[in-house]
Amino acid sequence: MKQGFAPNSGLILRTATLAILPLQLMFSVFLLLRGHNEPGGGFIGGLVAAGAFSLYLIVFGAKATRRLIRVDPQDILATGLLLGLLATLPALLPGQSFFTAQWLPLDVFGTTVKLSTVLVFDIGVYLAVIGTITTMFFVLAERLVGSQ
Amino acid sequence: MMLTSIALPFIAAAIAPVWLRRGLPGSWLALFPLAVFVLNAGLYSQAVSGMEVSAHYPWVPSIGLNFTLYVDGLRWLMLTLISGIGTAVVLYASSYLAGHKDLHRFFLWLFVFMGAMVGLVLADNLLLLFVFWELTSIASYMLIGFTHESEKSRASALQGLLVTVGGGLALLAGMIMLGQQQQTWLISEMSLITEHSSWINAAIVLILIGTFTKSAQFPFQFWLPNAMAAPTPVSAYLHSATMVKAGVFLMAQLAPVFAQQSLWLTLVTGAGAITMLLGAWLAYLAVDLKKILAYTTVTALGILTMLVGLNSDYAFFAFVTFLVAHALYKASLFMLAGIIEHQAHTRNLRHIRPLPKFTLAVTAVAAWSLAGIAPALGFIAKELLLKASATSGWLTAMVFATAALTIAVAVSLVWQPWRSRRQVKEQHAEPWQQWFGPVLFSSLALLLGLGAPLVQPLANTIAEQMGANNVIELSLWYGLSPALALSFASIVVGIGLAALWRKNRVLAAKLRLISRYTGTERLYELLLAGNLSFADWQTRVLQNGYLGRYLVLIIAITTLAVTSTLLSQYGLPSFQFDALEPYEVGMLFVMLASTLYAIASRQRFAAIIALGAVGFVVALIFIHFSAPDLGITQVLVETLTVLLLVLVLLKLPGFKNYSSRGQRLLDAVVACAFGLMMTLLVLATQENHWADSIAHYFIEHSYSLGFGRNVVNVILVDFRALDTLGEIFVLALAAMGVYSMIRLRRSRL
Repeated sequence: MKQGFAPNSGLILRTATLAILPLQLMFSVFLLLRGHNEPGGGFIGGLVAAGAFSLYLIVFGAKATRRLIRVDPQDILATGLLLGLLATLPALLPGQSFFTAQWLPLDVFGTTVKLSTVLVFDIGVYLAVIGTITTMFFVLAERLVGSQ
Repeated sequence: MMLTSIALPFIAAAIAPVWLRRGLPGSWLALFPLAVFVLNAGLYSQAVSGMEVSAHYPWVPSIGLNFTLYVDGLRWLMLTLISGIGTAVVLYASSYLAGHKDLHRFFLWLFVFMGAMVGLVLADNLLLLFVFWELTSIASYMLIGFTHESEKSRASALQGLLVTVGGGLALLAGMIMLGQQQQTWLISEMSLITEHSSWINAAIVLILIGTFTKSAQFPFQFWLPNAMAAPTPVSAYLHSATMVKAGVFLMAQLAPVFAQQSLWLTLVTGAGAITMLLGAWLAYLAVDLKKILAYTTVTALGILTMLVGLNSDYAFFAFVTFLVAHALYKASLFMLAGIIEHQAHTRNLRHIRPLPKFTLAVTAVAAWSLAGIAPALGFIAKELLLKASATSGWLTAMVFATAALTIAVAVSLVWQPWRSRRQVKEQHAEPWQQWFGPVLFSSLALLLGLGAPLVQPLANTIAEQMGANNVIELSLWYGLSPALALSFASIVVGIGLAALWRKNRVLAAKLRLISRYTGTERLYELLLAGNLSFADWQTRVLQNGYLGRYLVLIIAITTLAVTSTLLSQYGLPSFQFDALEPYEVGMLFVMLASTLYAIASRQRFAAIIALGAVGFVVALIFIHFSAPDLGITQVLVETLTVLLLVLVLLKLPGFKNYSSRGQRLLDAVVACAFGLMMTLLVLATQENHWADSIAHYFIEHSYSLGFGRNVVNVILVDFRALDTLGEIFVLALAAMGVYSMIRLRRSRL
């Protein structure tokens, strides 16, 4: 019972997971980016991405998932928090009050890309949510269930 | 310049640890307080002539907390004592504690203590003064508890901290009330209060609790003698120039403001007089050298406080003279106590060994000032004190008794080692750093009586600030008077008591024990013990560790509070369900059925699925009322929760009912009551619009200000982004909580 969390998971589930994972991750980024105008955003996007990793973890075990993610989930969490904090700072430069959103529209090949501290902050939220949930899943899977 | 004076000790505090770790001599650190002393000396002419020296640096202007500094006569004098005695104390400590493993920590806190005290006496802004006031408490806590391996030392430090910081809280409230009344935070701009009101009385009582705790006035006097657990240099500093003088200083500063308040005058005079006599009595009973000195400090603080309360010309001049005299002889006596302990190998005056002649001579000079016999400066102070207290027979009697007891103590300090016939143990010479302070200060205390004209201009300025109308010449000879006769009589009685000192020690030990168990310190201990057992009890009842109990308590109390408020303030809302669509009722029934199934189910997996179903219906409701973001989030969270539960399902113990039938019945009642409360609340809000909804603002400005059409997201990441930032940190904390609970425990489940 040591090799994986769900060693007997069926062929269909395993194949499906492999197919769904990249789609789900792309979808999460899509949700994150469109969130300012349509339903979505960092929080929802983060939940979708975390769901993708969780599914992978249940099917292939914690060890395989660590190999897939490569970075420690706690680092993802910390990066998210740091980005969130970082987004508060630019407002101080023009002397505006704390956390005032700053916008920087850029023309890229004819399309206007609106860069902003809001986007940075939303990415921070996105990463923090992924980090939190994957941390919990890893801990539970590795310690409680005893699979390495 | 004043800012530099405050900064210098803090700079020293930063440098000292590095300096000492490199093995460089600590004596050089004395240059910092010396620099403050010199800087301050330059202000003498302005301070004495009554010219205001002030400086203003904004800090937190929105609450009126600014670095507003100010020097007047009393502040100048305090600063001179703090920096002058500070210099000697640093020199003394560098040799006394040389080689101590925690020397760097000692100097760090000593300099913080010094800086806090300098800031305190320079601060014109009451709030700024309070900041430094509390800093002295914290620094003294670290210093009293310096030898933290000793339990007694820790207990004493904690006692000092609790008493002074507790008083500090009262002081803050009193200061705010005073500031409101005066419409200013600046002490220099405050004016005499002529009105009498309960507001003023409350302010007076609160401020006095603060100053009495700080200056060890009855009934808070007990912490000071215990504070002698601190290393000797700290005692010398704490008793003579810092910390305890803070309370007296503040009372003297506020004396002109409260001069017409009888409550202020009565309390200050009364507490001062009681403290004075109590201190002298306990000093006479004590045998430990440092304890004797500590009680004489209690006496001195009582005298100073009483003089503030007496509010007459004599009292104010006596105040200044005694403040100087006491600081000088008390600093030198405490430093001598350290030297005597080294040379006699004991601090117990009953078992003291003979001392080298030089030590004895310096002690005699310092004790002479303590006794207040001509030509010491203390003599003038005592003469003025007797004149000031002549208004009341009771006060005169108390001052007389205090004087006699203090003289008895002073004589015993010299007589006991002089008479001692015990075997002399090895005596090593103490280095000059240790002699510098005692020799300088004890001779100053003695000679300033002759050089009283030197003190005169300063005394005039300070007494005038405190409210004196006439100038009183400081002189050793005021002619034959009842005061002089009393002074003389106290010497005779004092010497008589000193002769009996050794004989009555057994009785004294018994009396000490009685006062130990009847005094206010006992009350403090009972309060502390009571507080702890109450905390223990309420923790056991409210925080028993059962999640179920917490939930029931929180929900039950919320339900009670909200329902009672709703019913009493608003009444029962009308039950109208006309707008309900059939499919909405259907959704509700699905939810209800799933909930009931989850409760009744005997299988854990089924219960989880049922709970999930409830969550999905909630998501459906969100989407139905056009909140797609909430709906999506709800679905995702439900999914992840089910995944998590599935993950841990295998490892959970069997699904059993641990609670009793009665407990479950109670839970059901609480749950239903909560549901009912929510229903009533929703109905009530439907009926009325108590406040305009803020939703319109967000919808209108979402694109114009936030550049986004998804209002929910704009609120999350722009309008209320600070909340979201807080939330992701809460998420992180939750993750860390799970991690540490499961990962870091020693054994696996």
